[in-house]
Amino acid sequence: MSNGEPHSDGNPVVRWVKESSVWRSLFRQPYPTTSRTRSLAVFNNVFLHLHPVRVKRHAVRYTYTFGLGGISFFLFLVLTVTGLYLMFFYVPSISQAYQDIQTIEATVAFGAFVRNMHRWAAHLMVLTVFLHMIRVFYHGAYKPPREFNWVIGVLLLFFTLALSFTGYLLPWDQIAYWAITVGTQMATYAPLLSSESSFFILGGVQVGQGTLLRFYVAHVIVFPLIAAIFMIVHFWRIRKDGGISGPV
Amino acid sequence: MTIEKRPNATADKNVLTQAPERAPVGSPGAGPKLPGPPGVPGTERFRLLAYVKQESMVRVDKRPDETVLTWPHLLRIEFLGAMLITALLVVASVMIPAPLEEMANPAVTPHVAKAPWYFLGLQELLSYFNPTVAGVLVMPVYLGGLMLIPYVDRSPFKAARDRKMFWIFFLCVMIGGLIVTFIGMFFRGPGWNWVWPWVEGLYFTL
Repeated sequence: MSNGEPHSDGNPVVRWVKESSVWRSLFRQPYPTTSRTRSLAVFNNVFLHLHPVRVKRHAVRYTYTFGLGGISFFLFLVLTVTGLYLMFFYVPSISQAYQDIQTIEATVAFGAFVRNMHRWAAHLMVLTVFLHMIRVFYHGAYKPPREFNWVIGVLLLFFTLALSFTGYLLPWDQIAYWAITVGTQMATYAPLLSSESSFFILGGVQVGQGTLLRFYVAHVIVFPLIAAIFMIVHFWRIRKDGGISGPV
Repeated sequence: MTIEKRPNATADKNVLTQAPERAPVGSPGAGPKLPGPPGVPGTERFRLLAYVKQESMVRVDKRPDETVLTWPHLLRIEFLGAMLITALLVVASVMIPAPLEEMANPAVTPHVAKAPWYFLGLQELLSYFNPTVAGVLVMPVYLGGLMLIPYVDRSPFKAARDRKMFWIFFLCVMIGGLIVTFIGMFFRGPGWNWVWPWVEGLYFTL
């Protein structure tokens, strides 16, 4: 421990662990207490490195952003974890999907809890993404040099809606079936393209096995992947454009 | 909050330091102070590597009191926010079960088929207009219009009072969207007919 933190551990076992090469390879520095070690803690960590070492003072005021973008990202992470758990018990087949949901509700450990959390987090995420957009508009934060990041944000709104919409079908109950039937009918009104766009979305002439598989693949891999890529660009551009926008 | 002194190179070689150095750059607008010719007494001798303007992404001329350290100030907020949302989700997930009706049956049409709530404004518009207009044009125009905002609003002002027209337009679209969504959620019943939710009950599931 050459970084100057005094040893408060009187316990020799604790001291032995903390001075071992294994511990020191994991924790390169003591708990950050000085400006220098706090800076190091942020930029030596791959996850924290998303942040700059210092942020503008107004940016940490709760009422400036209400944390809406961060909450949206956190909800995305919650949805990824809960969604992964549900994937173990779900088969996207019209003969089995509904029974799988019932099994998740009734017999899978924490199944109902995880499914509830997945659903409420999804609805909440649509809401927070919308509110985040309104907050950004309120502060005029789309002004140069942040125009392009606003465009990325609108695309992320679209993918949030697409993720929610594709997930809506998966329980394969009456709510899901008719909501998706009504929702996809809107796309089939397109002139000239009606039958093609309908077939492209539904994988058939009406909501059926083709649709369920299509929506499942889109929901669990295609849209999350695209959304994650756009999120990377979105966060990176915040840094490149000089942090979050200044106060009005 | 001041940046600490850069440690001696011999003191701690394995730790990089990123303490921003006071680059010999003049105040913005004044231009850089160029070094005098070598050997002339009274002139500083240094190598000018780059002149970084104020508006650049690298903020050389930042005053120390404009910023706070990410650790702990920002990370504490992020941690508390994550805990708060987790608590909210846990409580909601324990208290409110996610809806699940009977198995999907194409032969049984429900009294009213509603899209997910965020599309109910669109579905409501669909009942007013030609489906081609409402179903096909609204979404692309809405998303495309949102994307175009920064390229249309070119004024340098950020405060609401300095861009009233834009604000009014944006608010009209948002409130209009909210109203049609609310109508679609709570005031539409069997056959997409008008219902009063406190009389006929709710025809809406999340």
